[in-house]
Amino acid sequence: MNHRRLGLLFLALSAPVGVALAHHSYAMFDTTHTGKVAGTVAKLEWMNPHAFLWVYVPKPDTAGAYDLWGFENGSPSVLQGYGWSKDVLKAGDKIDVEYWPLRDGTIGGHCEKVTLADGRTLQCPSDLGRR
Amino acid sequence: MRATPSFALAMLGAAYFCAGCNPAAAQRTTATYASLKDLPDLAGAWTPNGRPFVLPPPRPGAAPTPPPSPCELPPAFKPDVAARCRDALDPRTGAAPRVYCERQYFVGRPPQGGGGAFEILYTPGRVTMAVESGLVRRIYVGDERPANSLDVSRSGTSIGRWEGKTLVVETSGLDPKAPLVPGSGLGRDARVVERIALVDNDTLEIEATLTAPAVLAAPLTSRMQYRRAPDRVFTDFDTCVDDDRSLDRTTGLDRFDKTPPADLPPPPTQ
Repeated sequence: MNHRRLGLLFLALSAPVGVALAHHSYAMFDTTHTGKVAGTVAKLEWMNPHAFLWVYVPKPDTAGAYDLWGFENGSPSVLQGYGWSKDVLKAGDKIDVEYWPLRDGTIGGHCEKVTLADGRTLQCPSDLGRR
Repeated sequence: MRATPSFALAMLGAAYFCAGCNPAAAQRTTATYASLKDLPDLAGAWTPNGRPFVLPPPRPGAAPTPPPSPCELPPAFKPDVAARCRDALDPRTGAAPRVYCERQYFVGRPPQGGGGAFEILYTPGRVTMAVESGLVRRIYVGDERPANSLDVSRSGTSIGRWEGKTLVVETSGLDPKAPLVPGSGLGRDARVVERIALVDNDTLEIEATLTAPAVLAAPLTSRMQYRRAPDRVFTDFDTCVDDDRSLDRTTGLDRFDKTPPADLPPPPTQ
């Protein structure tokens, strides 16, 4: 590894002003698999240190019933660079969510990508979940 | 009244200490708000260039590649720093110990990552860099160290000068305990020289060279570019919140808190 690469690696790994190194582990997510669900936006929690997306997903075996799925997302400061905003998703919007599932098998996970009904997509960033 | 020697000494002492009573007198600036329009247009909001957190596509079934060791340091570091770094890693994960509520320090590297957006503000005699993660750096433009500046502080004392269209900032008085790499702070007598300039109208580059004799055998230079972000809404990036759904502040353990928000609308009706 040459010196320039090492310098950049150092810059990326170190903790300078303003850096957002993962403040928690991603071990709870299976980052080697991508799940996908379709549902209705319940709420986008626009908060530090991570935004959370809540989605009503129809229960597969019970007509008219829903599970509430939660998806961790990046920080609002980072999400802005990906086209997200506080009101980019509104309650009632129909979306597809691609996500890293929780390792414990329960519903929810870490958002990878959201596709809106009109075909627009919103990438979900992550810190160190997958390399 | 005859001045006694003790009275004269007291007056001399008062005069000496009053040099610091009025910082404005000690560091007068001839700059005016009107003159600020002639400066290079560094002012405004900037965000780190690129998307550092775009991840590669999933590799079904493959084990995640472990992240590189945070102790893989550039050659500028003294050898014992890497050794201390390895000793400081979490023995279970091999990763740097996570710090939940970390105070912000300037350690001679340009802002980056989440919370790395910043705003440059011009006022007469001063350039202020307000970083989204919370640190505010006040750069005094002039020849003198401002009166009453602290011996050491989290942002240090920064003195700037214009070299053509480049703002050159020299910073000293950095907190020796400011974390640089796991296991090591900056140490005493660290200094930073930054060169801040436009690459083009919408691209800013910061080159920062850190000299830290306690931990570096040679100066360490970092360089980052930023894009202008006039519509940026700053969000007080903060990893130190009470209701963190991803981390239990009381235990320091990861979690995935599924407690629904209190104001959710009802599920859709069919």
